[in-house]
Amino acid sequence: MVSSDAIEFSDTVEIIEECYRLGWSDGLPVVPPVEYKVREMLELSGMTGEEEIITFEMRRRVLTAENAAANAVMAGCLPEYFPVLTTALRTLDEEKNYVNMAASSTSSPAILMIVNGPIRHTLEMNSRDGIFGPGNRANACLGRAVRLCFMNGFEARPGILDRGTLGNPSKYTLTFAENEEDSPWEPLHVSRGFRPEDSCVTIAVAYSPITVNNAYGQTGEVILASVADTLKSASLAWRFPAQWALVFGPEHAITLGDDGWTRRDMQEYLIENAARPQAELIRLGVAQGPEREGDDQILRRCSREPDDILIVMGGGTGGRNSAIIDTTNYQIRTRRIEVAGS
Amino acid sequence: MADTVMVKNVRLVNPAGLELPVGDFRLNDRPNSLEGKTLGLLENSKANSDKVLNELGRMLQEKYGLKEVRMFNKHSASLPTKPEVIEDMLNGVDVLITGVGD
Repeated sequence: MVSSDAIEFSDTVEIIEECYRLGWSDGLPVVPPVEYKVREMLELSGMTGEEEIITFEMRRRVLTAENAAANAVMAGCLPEYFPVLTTALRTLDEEKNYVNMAASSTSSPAILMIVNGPIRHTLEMNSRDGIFGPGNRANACLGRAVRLCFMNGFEARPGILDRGTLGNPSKYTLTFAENEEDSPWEPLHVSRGFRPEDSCVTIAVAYSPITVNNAYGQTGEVILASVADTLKSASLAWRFPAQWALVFGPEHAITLGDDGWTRRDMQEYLIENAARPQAELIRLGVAQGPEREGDDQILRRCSREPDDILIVMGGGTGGRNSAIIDTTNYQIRTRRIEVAGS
Repeated sequence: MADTVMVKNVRLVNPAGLELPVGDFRLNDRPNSLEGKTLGLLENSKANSDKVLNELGRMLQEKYGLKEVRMFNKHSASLPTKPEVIEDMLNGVDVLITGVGD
């Protein structure tokens, strides 16, 4: 027990409380965006702060590099993280639908960021145990910075611009790196046309990961069958055809790799097997009726094209778990991260 | 030049975005009566929004003696209305109601 006279007044703690009072928080304490920390963030990226990063016409707001850096500081980011954030925000600026969806939709989507390439190591990102968190600074703070930019920058606060019915814990962060080193498949960014030595971020509008715990399947096909079965559940199949990010845990990936499943084989298997008749979706109330003759013959498949299914390897050893992330119909983007001086 | 807020003698950088300039505009006078007027309804293209707004338009036309009800489409629920649609509405209706259906 600490006696009360041992507790000293702390300006820093009081300023954190003041940030709450100013409405600058996502609910968790923020690092006060003091000028020198914001300047450090900008200087490492060679930015002045006046650069316009993202405009959001519907709220008549523009977010400058300085605004973005302030939010990054508040989220707990180190200056080295900033190029990932600015790349993501610039991509969101090109894709206003992403911002509108992830800021305001009743369905409460988050922004997914998957990081590939050497920057994963520079930022010490997590691609292994507990990949979706908590515990890693870059994974936690980068995703949080995007959401703080939405909340502080565009007033995407619950009940104001953000009309999410239920909200979504992934709105705090849904950011991770791929475990490229142990994967039986080429890295995600390479499969999407980039070089292995490029550092990239893949960005999507996304819902929370759904775990597929397949502990007893001894073949790659059984693992994929359980993924397909989960995909065609009412909660996901209403969106068919759409895009999906699948994160295969190491034990599943080893089994799939040993059985010779390529990325393309897996994508084609899922398009073939994760399908459901329109009539069933109408009867479940997740597709609009009324049911018409022939609806039981119309098969809705999880995706139109194999490349609409992203396959990523990540997570810890121990446990045979993989995850499905619903990444909606808004075109997923992969962008190279430009690092100043590289 | 940083946009800052002073808190307990510490200068904090404002994380809020900057306000975009608003163009010149003025609101039309509110009509005293809807009789003989053309009403525009802007639907957001979500499932059934047209049905809700068509029925609403029918009820308003009947109740207030509107000359005509015209429906406009937002093309995407999550993007702003296209400028040409705004132009059509500006030139084609006396009164406009933006509707949301989901």
